[in-house]
This record gives sequence, structure tokens and C-alpha cells, in this order.
Amino acid sequence: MRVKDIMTKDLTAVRENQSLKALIFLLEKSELSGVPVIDKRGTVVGFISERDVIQAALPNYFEMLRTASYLPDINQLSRRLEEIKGDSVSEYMVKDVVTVDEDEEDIHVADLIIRNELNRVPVVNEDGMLTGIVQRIDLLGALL
Amino acid sequence: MILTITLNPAYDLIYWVKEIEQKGETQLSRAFRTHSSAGGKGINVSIYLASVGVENVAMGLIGGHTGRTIKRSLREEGIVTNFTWISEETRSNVAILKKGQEDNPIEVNSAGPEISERVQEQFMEQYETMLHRVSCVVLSGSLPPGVPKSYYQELAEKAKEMGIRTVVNTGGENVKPAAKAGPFLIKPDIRERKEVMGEKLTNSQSIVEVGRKMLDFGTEYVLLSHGLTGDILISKDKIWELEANREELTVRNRVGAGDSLIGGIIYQLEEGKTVPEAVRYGLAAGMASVEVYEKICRDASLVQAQLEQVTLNELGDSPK
Repeated sequence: MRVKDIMTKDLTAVRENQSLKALIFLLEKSELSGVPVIDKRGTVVGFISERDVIQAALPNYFEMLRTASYLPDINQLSRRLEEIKGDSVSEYMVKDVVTVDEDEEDIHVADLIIRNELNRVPVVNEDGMLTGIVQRIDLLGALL
Repeated sequence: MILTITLNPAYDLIYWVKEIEQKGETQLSRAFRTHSSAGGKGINVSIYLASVGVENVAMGLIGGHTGRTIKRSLREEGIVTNFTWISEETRSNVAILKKGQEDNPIEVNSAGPEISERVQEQFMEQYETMLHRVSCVVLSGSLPPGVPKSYYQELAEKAKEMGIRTVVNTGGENVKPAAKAGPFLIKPDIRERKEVMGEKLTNSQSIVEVGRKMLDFGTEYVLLSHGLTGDILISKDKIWELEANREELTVRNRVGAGDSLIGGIIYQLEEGKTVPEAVRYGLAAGMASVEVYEKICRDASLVQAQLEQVTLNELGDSPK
């Protein structure tokens, strides 16, 4: 089966020049954990998730969570988010984004997702434009 | 790829009842049939196009639980989605069809949520990005509160600048600004008021005169209905009259018929048909949708049967 047969045909994305505040609004309303970042032609230039936002606000947060003595300070996170909410998405997105072509085999995407520990992979056409998204659940659904 | 725009989408709830009457006290009517689906005129066009295998993307403004339901149902139809999210809940519209009087439904449409300038700018940015990959834009339906009457004009002008065909189907005060953008085809929605740009549509002559005004703005084709079964198509050079055979028609649900018409036109234009022939097919698609309980008729044989009932006559040259 090919990627275009199993992908979710949704183009929800954020522009690279948009603010983190706009991104958080989009993720909250659309109930997504991360979205592709596109330029003004719709070409995928990155990916950003809620994890990247938390990382931006508190760079050592995820490492600190691994120690038993660390107690998360929500006020600190809130203050930092307030400071960076106007920053553009491009500052914090993952630039080395993994994408797949619509015509690739699903087995290739499954391999990519497992190797890179990804939840969602943007699907692009021959011009690099976003045409959909493949999620882990899409693959599981197709395999069943 | 076709792009449909629904700035004021809705979740449509359609009820068929045997009796409905207001007698001065609380009345309970039991529906003997119901139908619910994602709606709004552009979305209905998207559903029609997907049903005939035309790849299309639906854009618009959605919010809340209703918005998520609309998005999910469109994805299940195979439609590409690219919505702009708002904080408020997307509206629901209700149509009640009384048995034996399905021809005259009671439709209750809410105005829809107030749209901020920030959301309008966000939508415009998404729209401009999308224009890089579409061949035709459908601007359809009402504008939600807060969106200026000139918004369709702006959308149509941006499409035209990029050489993209625009089809507009809207009513009231939105028609004139949209016509000024010089779209490829405009079909004024006259369900609420039988007038366009301040002119009452009383006969064929008044229809042609209003059509002529829109052509003067740069619109290439104007399509105006005169009743459920007939349309007049006007271009700079010619006028055509389309008439369907009403006697053979069993009305079950008129909701979505006009959108099937627009969908049928675009489908046939994509197939390389001429505009008059595409409109003839569109009218047949609209008639077929009236005959089924669902908003959109997915049975091509029913459309084909209606097509045989629709006549297309050239009335002559368009008056200068």
C-alpha cells in the first residue's frame, strides 16, 4: 500500500513566521500534538510540537523530569511562555524534518516512524508541498 | 485541484415530520426520518465533488466540537481539509420538512460566530498559500458576522491575479462586491430575497438586466434561477435558458440542491465541457439531489435520468 492510500488528507500547518502563541492556539483547538511548518508556498520547512514549545520555555525540563528530586515549577513555565510567546515558530522548530513522498510504500514509512520515534510524518508531493500527514495510527489501521 | 471556501460552515440537521403546527402551547413533533451532515454551501460542493471523484480541498473557519465533527466527516468523504480554527463553536442549521410539503421546508440558520480581524488575516494567509496549487476556487455561502462584505471580492481578486478560475455562489449584499472582482461565474443565491443588487427579479427581462450589470463588472458568466426547475445563463455574447421537467420530480429534500448544481457545473468543466453544457448537467445534479433524502445525490444514474429532462436553448445574443 502507498502512503497516499493511508495518509490523513489534512493540511493543518503553521507558517514559519507565525508566533508561538498562534501555534499554541492552533494545537489546542485542533487537538494535535504537533504540526508541519510551511513557507508561503506550502513547502514543508520544519515540524514543531508541543514538546518543542516546552523545551523552548524550559530547556532542561525533560532531562530534569528524569531525576526523582525534581518538582516541576508551573509558575516558571508560565513566566517563560509569556516571555517567548511572540517569538516566531522558525526559532524553535525542528528544521531537519523527516518527510515522505505520497507514492512511497507504507513499509518505508513504518520504518521511518519506528527508527526516529515519530508520531506524525508530513507527506509531500514532488515539489515538497504538504499534501497530508501519516500518523502511527494510520499505519496500524492499514495493517489491521 | 478544486478549492472550496466555506467561511460560515454549519452542521446540518434535517428532520422530516408528519405534522408541525404552532397552536399557542408547547408542541412536540416526532421526526420519522433524520439526516445530519457537515454543511455550509462550499462544504456541500466539496462533498458532491468528492462523490464524483474530483479531488478537492475544503477551507473555512471552524471551532469547537461541531468544527471537529465537520472536519472528521469531510476526511471520511476523502476531502482534503485545511481549516482555520476559531475560539467559538461552529453553528448548526436546522431544516424541517413536513410530509407532503417537502417543497417548502422550514429552514432555521443561525448567523454564526463573530469573526475577529486576526482570524480573517490568518485565513487570508492560509488561502494565499493554497492558491499555489489549485485550478478553481469556489466561494460559497453567507459571510459570518464581523467579516466585511468586500471579503469575497478580495478572495476572488487574489485568485484572478494568479489566473485561477473563481465561481461565486452567495446572496444579498455580498453579490455586488463579488461581481466586481470579475469572477468566472456567479450564481446569486436568491432564496431569502428575490432580488439581486437592489433589482427585483420578476421576469426573464429583469433577470437578463441584472445579469448584464454583473457582466459589466467583468464577470464572465451569470447564472440566475427562476424557480426550482429553470435557470438563465448569461454571457457577454449569448443568453441560454435551461428548463427542467417538473412533472417527473418527486421532492424529498431541497437542502443542498443549489450546491449540487454548482458541484455538477465544476465537475463537467473539469471534464472539458462547455459552460452551457456544464450548467445543464449541474441543473440535473441539483434536480437529482432534490429526489433523495440525503443532501447530495451520489447516484450518477439518477443525475443521468434528470439530464434527459433538462433542455438547453440559446435565446439569442446578449443585449449590449
